[in-house]
Amino acid sequence: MVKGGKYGVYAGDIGKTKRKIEIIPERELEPSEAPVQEPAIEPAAEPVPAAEPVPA
Amino acid sequence: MAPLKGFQELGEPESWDMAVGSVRGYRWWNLYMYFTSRGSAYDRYTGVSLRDSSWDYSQWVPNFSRSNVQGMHGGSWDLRTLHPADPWHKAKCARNVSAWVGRDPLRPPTHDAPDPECGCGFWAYWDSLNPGEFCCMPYIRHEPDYGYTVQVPLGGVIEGAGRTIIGERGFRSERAKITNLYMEDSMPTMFEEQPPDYLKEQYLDSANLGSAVALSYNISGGPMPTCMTTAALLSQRMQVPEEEITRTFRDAVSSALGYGFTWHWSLDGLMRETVPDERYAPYGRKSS
Repeated sequence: MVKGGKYGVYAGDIGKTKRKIEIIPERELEPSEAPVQEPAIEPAAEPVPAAEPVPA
Repeated sequence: MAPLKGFQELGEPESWDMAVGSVRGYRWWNLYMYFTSRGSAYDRYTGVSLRDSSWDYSQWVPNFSRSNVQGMHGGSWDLRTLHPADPWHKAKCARNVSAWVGRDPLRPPTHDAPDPECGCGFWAYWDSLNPGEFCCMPYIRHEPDYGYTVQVPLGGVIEGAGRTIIGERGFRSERAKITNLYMEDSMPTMFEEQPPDYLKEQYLDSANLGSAVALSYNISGGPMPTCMTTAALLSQRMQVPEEEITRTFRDAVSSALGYGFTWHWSLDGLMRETVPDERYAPYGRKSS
């Protein structure tokens, strides 16, 4: 417990304040704000030879 | 001397930056767990076993609905206060919260949590999870008419987001989510024995209630250190295998916190499988 500040007593002492950041979780970003990832270009599928008819 | 540009007079940053993601840190909690015996005064009070005429003190029942997990400095971390679709615990400054009336709508918080001038927000440390430094002692209190009250320390990792203050040793954040947890059950526990209710009533008029009851029943009257772990001591007194006690503790944690975190068997295992957050930690991070 650390005493100080104009609001009274501190609970967890994390030391001197270095930065103040507003952190947004990635999952909550709007689709337009999310980092755009280029879709991987897949090689064209080779034509599959038709199965030979099985003699009855 | 004028403060540096972007910093206040005391050297704190003036404005809030913006970032995406989360921060990660280590911290402690306490599990509060209750065991009642069938036919105890608590059961009679709640009407659970009125129909049960047998007084069997050998059958101990864990009371999961009363079990809860709290921070080292108070504050409930309870699944039951969360929205099912939103796993984040959200901090509100409790400076104006009264112990009697709770949150008073006429005295709302004067600031959003956390604030550099206040201690509010979920705190965690960059790399410290030292049982000797920030952890409370495990503790058992036995009241013969009501049962056992148990306090077990839990260590773990949280992810923080929202308004976040980055400090030298850790952070305080507006939102938090527990990701990793382990139960510190290797420390010797404190034990407190209370006199039964009828003795308390008998000595109610006595000016020397505490010592009279304590002397007549050889009871210390306060928590005393033992050389046994919490699970071992409860196992001995309840005649239940130690593994059952440990498993019951874990069930109580799960019923209070839900299932969105990973359990670890030891502090070493937790530290091995989690990586300290190095993005902001270089501010005074200790090399352990």
